[in-house]
Amino acid sequence: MPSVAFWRPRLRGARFDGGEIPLQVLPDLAALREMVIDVAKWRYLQDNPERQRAPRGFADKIDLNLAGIDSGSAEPVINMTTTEPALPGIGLPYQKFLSLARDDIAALIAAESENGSAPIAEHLPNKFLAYFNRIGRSLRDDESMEFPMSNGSPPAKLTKETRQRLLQRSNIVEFTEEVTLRGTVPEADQMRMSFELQQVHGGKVAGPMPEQHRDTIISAFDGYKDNARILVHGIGRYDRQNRLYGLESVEQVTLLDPLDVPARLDEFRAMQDGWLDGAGLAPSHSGLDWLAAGFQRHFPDNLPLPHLYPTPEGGIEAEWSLGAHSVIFEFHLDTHEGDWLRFAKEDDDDEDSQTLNLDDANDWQWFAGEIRRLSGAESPE
Amino acid sequence: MSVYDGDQITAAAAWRHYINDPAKPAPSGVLAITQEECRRQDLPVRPDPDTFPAHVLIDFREFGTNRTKRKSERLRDAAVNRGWQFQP
Repeated sequence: MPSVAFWRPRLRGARFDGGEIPLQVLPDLAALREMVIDVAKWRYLQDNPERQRAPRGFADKIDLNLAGIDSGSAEPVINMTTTEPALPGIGLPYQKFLSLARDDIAALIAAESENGSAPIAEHLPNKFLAYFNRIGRSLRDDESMEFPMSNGSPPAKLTKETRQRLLQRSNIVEFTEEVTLRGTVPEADQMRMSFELQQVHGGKVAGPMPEQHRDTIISAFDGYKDNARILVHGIGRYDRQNRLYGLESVEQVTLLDPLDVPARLDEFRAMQDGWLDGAGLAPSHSGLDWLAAGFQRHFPDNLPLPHLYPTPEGGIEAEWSLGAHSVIFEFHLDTHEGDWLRFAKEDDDDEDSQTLNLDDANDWQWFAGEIRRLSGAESPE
Repeated sequence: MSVYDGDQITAAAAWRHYINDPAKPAPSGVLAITQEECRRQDLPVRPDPDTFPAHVLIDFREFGTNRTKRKSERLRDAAVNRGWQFQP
């Protein structure tokens, strides 16, 4: 099939640094293809005002394919292909309209990214903004998709924020977003294959119960009175006020350890200042986010988890009972420091303490190493 | 450390009194320690009826941070070994 090079959007962010693209990003590219073809049809009709509809089979004759990934960078190579023979000197059928569509989409993203208030109608009818419900949905906070501009301008940059603004300007009433939720399962309906998740911090959301995850969800339902919790990764439904009100799909479900750190930290989000006879400070949400991320990144899975408690100063104290030793580690959420204290339970003179800088991965490594040594856990390969 | 005097109030009543304050996180239940356990940790215990009649304070002020943490843990372990006095 004849094909020509069409587009090379670039994915930026920690996940893409190795030049690989996670499969979960592919639906975004599939949605991009749909948008390009839809906008190309619109462009065709703009160019041919006497026509009411795009030619029959417009979308069948031409397509966009992922030809590969540029080695060394996370750039999907998108080619335009056709089932029709290419005419010498003319190119592929409808190539002009797909190219215009590509440029329109890039210009729209660039305008929103740079200006934030440019009228959408300058670039595209408002109805096309609905495609951003899927394009960019997999982007995380530190990530972006960059779309080359045919006029030589810097690439148009789509981030989570840009996408949100485009969606707010659209007419859609419901947005979707990748979500990771933790909670208990107070209700499950095995006839309707649905369940409700009571978030550790937040309200209840309902979602489908896929067959492959039924056992795990029902296990959490059975353990509800013992506070059994699950981690759910899927696509969440949000209203225009950005409130989560349901799950569109459930992709991963995992039964959580009773001491799961992010779930326990979520419990503290409801705390208010004055919680300790008027004197306690509530831990900040940004501090809890930092600590949850730090634990996920630096604390190996095979080490025992601590019991966590809030401190009156707004910090978090982690406690381990490790055989003959106790470890108490106080996380200062404002300074990102941690106070380590290890002592022998039966020997008042056997203790060591120090302050660690938890913005330094080496200090996390030391801390994890001590927990491993005291617990007798094996080092990972 | 702020505690309730078990001679003046039951564990269930102490729990109800505590949860009246919406700023406090919901406790899982009520544990108990004895004056003897405090004495073994060299921790003075004194009534504080000005706050409310059954209020008692265990005074850690004489000790530094690390000693306070040790003593707290020993009191906690004694309470846990004794078991819940009340759970909702």
